[in-house]
Amino acid sequence: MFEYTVLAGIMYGLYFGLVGIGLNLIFGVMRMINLAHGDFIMLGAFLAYWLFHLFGINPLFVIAISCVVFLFLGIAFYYIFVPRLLKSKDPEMLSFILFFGLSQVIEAIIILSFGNNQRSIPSNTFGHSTFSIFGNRFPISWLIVTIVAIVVFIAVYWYFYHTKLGYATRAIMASRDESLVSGINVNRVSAFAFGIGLILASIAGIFSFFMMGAAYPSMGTNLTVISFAIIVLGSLGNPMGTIIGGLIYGLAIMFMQTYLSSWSNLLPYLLLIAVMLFKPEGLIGKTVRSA
Amino acid sequence: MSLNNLMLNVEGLIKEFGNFRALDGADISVKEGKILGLAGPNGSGKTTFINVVSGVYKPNGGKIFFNGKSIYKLEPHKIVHLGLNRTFQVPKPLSGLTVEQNVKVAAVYGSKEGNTKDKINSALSSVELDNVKHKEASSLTSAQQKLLGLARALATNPKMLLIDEIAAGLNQHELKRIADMLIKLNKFGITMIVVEHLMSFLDILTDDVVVMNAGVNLFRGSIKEASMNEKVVEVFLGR
Repeated sequence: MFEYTVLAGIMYGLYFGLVGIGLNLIFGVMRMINLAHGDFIMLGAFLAYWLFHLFGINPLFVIAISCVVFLFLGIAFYYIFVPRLLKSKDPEMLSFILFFGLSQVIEAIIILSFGNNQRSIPSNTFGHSTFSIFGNRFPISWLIVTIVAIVVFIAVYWYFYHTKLGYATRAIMASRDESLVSGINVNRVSAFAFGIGLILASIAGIFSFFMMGAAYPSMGTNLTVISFAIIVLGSLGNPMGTIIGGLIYGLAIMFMQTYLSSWSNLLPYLLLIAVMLFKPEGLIGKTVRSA
Repeated sequence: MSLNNLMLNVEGLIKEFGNFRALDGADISVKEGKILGLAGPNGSGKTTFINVVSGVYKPNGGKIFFNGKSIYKLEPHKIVHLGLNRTFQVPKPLSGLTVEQNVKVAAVYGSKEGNTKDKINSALSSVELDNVKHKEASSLTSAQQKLLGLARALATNPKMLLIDEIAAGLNQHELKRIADMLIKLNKFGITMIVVEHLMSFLDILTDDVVVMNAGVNLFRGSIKEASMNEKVVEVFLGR
């Protein structure tokens, strides 16, 4: 049982890393918490649901479609709202209101359009087979989700450390002002990063059926809280740290569900409080010397 | 002053934060190849002036010409591409990146002219940071972080630099070293406005100083003349 819990926790953890990484990227670049993050995960799930049920498109192929749709959505959203927000007296505070409002609007539109029912994609979409690690058997869909998560993490790492745009993104995450006077078109890079953040959220949504059972319009709020706990655990503003946060969350939730299942819903809040009390900079956060 | 060799010409610059006017019609100009000292008490608008001219803050009124071209409300990265750059009073190096990578970002994005590697090496050697180029930027000392800010600006091939209180908090040895560097850079043709509290530091660099107070320029002349000017003395020492 212990071995099964650890292995399942690692797989869930990698998936939850995927759930949180987009939120951390957007926070890192814009210093704003996207309170509608969970709703974009939900939108990704609904996109996969409809494409699967209307056209029979496999969720793996929906990734490509969601890249285009959510990049466009992210860039459009950024240019419509963020530059105006940054001109305000208190952009951080107003961003909470803006993103909270956006979250409510997205949820309401989906409920009005499709109802508030749970939707799912059959768990055998990737086949009926199972796979075994150390004698423990898991559904094949978990392996596929784990592989997708790892590929996404490698892609994000490659973007940050091996592309010109990635360097610019890291520069903005470190200091918006220094980036402005380094000749970086901060708005353009931020808009692109916002788009990538939404793509990452949507990919987490596409695979939510296989890790969380079903998708429903009001799932966003809970997912935003979980994502927030994960990124605080890893390190706020450090997208790669989200993987560590996700793994700890995944392992913790698996252990809670196995040994203390009735308390498992409390986990994100307990983890948040624990991190705030003992390591507020996150588990891999570093203190920085300021001149 | 003849207008045709002015590198920077600012007229009636206004910047408001709510009901407070941080700049209330500042007129400041600098000739090509010169160093202008910008002094004044805390809150006189010196740093706001640099923030507005470099595009970090948007102005509420006035005119800003750089090399004869209006840069009023131009985006900061476009101002950098024209050849006007600045340093920050409190440097904010790009943490998570090495010293070399910090400068590389500026070399790549700040100017299309020249070879990136040459620009990085030249900027780092100009501020004598080549020996720490592989260190993480956030681990540098305060003085080194200020020099890194200067190197970052140099990597963008600037024609003019706005230097914001680079001497604050540095010891005498570091002050002399930075003053020598700025003089050398000026000899290579970089025009400068140097904002500074320390008159002794400005005295090494230039005999052309503007004293600001309450968002306007109060006086222009040498430091010696400034020290004898009644209004300047009043502003610095009080009545």
